[in-house]
Amino acid sequence: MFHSRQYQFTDLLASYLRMNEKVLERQKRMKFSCFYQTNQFFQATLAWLAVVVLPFGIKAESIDNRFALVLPAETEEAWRAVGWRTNLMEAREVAQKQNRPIFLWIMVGNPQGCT
Amino acid sequence: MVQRTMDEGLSSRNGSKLSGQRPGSSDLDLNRQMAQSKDPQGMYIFGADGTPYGFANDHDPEDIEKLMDLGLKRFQARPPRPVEISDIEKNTAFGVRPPPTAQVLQVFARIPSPPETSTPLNKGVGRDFCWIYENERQEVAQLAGRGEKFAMPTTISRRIARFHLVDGVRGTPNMWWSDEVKSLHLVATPVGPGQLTLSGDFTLRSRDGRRGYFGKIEGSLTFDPETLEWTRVRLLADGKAFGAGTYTPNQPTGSYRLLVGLLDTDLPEARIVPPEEVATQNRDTRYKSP
Repeated sequence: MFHSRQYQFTDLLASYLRMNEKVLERQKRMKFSCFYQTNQFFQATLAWLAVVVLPFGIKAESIDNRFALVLPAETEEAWRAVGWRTNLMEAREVAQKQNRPIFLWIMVGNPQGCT
Repeated sequence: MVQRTMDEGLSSRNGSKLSGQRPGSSDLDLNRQMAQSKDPQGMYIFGADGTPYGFANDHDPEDIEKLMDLGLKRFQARPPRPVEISDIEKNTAFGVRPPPTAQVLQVFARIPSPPETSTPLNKGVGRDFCWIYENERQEVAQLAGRGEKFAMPTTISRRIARFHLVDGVRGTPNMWWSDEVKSLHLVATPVGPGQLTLSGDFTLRSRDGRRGYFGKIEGSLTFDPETLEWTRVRLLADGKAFGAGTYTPNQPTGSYRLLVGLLDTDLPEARIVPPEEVATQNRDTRYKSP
């Protein structure tokens, strides 16, 4: 649980609490009351820390996860399948060779975005 | 071609929910559009010799399909004349291109989980390109070589702040004037040969106080110590934005989370499509020295 790979804080907390619940159950059965009471106190403290500390800006999401939110989804890149040309004169040449009309998209701004 | 489209009255005025216009609306006519704003933007169908076959300024998929069907019929009824297209015409650049030694990054903007009550455009992704000039990469490498934390070159941090920390999700965004950059810090920490982690914060606010964006910026940068090429860039701005831009109304109400990410790219169009600021100004003078 505490190895060097980056964990989200909430995942870490949840893992500890789940593990601790199993420990508490075992302790109840074995009636190690002193340890059981101490562990309960520690679990309550940890939960309190989560409630207090998390709102104070500990990043719950890794930068990789947040960066992934920004990137276009596959459906948002479907326009690339059209095979757009970026040179109008080359497009005229191809259109003439293939006997096809040209579809031209003029935009004030970047047609690939900022639109 | 635009003029001929106007002369022959070839606007397809289909109308759609997307445009908010009814079929036949004169607002969808190119002639009216040019008269109002000298703005030729839209979709054109034409032949290699410039013969026009149709125009529409609407993004509804059904409207575009109708335009293409109509344009194709007209093309078949009146095919274009053969023309010669010279190499000079093919090799002449249409817009400002990055200097051959500049590196280009891709930029994306996103409002994660916009409120369901906000307009659908808030679910989109804003796109742009960012240029990093050769002398700037040299300066970063030099500073990194000292092995200590350093402030990223001002031209880089201010360029990113003024021209890329913008809400381009719904349309062409307003850039920030120089005095609208209220605070900006971008610090690099060397963590290995050619490897930097980046962190900082920013506050941007328009002169009238009605539009703003503030938050943290963090990421990593890897460069080749030999060529100084930035081989991997991940830079993320995460903050709160508020207010509408001139062409980007209907933002979520109040303040909303806005993410802007910059990353390395090898897309071929990155060497052809200039950053929005450069395209608007038709030069990179202000962009290079923000």
